[in-house]
Amino acid sequence: MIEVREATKRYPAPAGRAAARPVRGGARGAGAGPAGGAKAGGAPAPEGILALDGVTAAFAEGELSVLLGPSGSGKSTLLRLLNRMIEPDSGLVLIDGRDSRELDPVALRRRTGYVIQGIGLFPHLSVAENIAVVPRLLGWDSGRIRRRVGELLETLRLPPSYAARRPRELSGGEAQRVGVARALAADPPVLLMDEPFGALDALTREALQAEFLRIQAELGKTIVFVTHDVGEAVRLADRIFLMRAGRLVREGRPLELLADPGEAFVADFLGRRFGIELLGREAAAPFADFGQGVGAVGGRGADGVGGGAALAGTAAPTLPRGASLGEALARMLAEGRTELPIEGAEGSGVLRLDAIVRGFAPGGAGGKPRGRDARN
Amino acid sequence: MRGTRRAGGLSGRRYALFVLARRWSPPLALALLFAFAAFRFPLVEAALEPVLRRKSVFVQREALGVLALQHLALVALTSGPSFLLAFPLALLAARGRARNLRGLLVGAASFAETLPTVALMALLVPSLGYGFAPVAIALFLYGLLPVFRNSLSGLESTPPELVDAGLGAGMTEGELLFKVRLPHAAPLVVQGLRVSLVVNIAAATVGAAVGAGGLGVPIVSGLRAFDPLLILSGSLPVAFLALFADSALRAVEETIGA
Repeated sequence: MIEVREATKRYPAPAGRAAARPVRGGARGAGAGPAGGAKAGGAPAPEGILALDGVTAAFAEGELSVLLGPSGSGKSTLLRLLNRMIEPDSGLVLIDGRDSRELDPVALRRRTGYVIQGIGLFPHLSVAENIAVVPRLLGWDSGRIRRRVGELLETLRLPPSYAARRPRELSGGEAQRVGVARALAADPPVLLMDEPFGALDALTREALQAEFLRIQAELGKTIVFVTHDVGEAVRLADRIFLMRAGRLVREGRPLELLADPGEAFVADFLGRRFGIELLGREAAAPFADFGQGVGAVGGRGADGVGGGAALAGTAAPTLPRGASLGEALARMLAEGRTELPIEGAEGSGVLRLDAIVRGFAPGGAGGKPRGRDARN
Repeated sequence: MRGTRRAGGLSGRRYALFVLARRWSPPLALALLFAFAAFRFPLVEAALEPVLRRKSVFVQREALGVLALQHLALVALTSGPSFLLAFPLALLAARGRARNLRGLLVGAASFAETLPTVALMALLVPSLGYGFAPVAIALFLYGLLPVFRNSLSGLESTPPELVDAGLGAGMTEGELLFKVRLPHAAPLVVQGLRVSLVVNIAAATVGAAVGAGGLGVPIVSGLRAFDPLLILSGSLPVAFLALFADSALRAVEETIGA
């Protein structure tokens, strides 16, 4: 469990601006804007950019928490508080209940995996040596390091021959895998990731995200993940922390954010397609009805919508067990049906369109008309 | 470090050999040219005779080979210690704790470089007398700046994401210096050494004017006697030696860089 309490961080104004002499008098009133304009010379008031403005957040153990927000919203700053790469001006960071200021930053970082945007692989070291950086710092013996590197190459689906390669001989996706392997090397309980897939093309990124989810399902690390990409947040997050201008605007499970965005900024930032993007990651099974037999699933929906008469009678293909809502809906659209048979843990059941619509966003469900979400 | 490269066309081992040969053949050729010019000069002289239409009229007291060895010793005994001092100073300055120290060191090294050779000799000879000492001190001072400046800028130009990755992995400042900053700076450090060496090889010829020996002796005598062959007998080996040092250290830079 990592907690941040009332953390505030202000970056100093660029030296050039501080040195430049502001217009005397009147500047105090004029420069009071939130953008951090230089105030009258000699004023003791702090200047510069307020990167974090009293942020309080808790990142649960074993969860993948995503810090989401536009550029400059303070996501990376917040992340870097967690391994003491940055110290807050005020406020606290508690790691497993202990004030992080009491912890040795070097020891803390060695048991916290860290993946950064530019990957930051050391160009003079081979892939294996890059992965082995933290184990080396921890003084592991070479046999153990070699075994661990082999394991990680396998986990990240990199061929063993890559161990001897240099970072410049890797593609962007491969380098990013090595970056993740390096962060996992000493098996840290916590992983901090700052836009780790930011520089990759869309296809590679999605493949890596999927693989990353697979690894996370296996390892169950506590992960704090920074991104500005809503799609990425939706695909990965157990919990989303939406930030804006140094403040935590809204936090919750993705479905909760859909049902109740709170302020207008949240709905705007998540975008009109947020609900659609969510469909891809939500499993279809919880929405299905496993109560009665399903032998008679036909083309017609129970409520009489859709389902052409021409299709009636033909057997609908059964959705596989792990199917997502996105897949289910795509199948419904393709087949022209509002009901599909589905395979579940307790046998087969029926998935109905209206059940999805009603049950998708809890709190917002039940067919109650909601003005804000009507555009979805 | 390692010289293995990605195979392009050739198989890995053969390609590595090819790269090795291509990288080290220029320094090897220049080393042979230097040896030839320094220790087999009569052959060069004979070859040049038809062009210059005369033989050297000046008979040297010492064989050219001896002067060449003197020259090598002079350079090695000055550039070596100067590297051994400048490099740790750069590490010290790059530690970042003492900004004042850094400024002081940069200033001192720059000042040493701005002194004209002749002026420095004029200052040193009256106090130290003729011979090896004043030249050695001058060359030692000139060797400092290139190594110091290059090492320092190399150590300070570590890409920010590497610093971030290193510190984020839990390196201490010292570990960061030796495991990240230094390997990144290594090619620049060698470049500094290269500049320092080449400058000293050339500047060491001035030593002949104050009795330090070396390949400057035939050049100085040749200038006095207006004897082009004599001048060539000194300047050719010096030129080849400088080119050799330059290409050899370039090869080292290529090996550890990239």
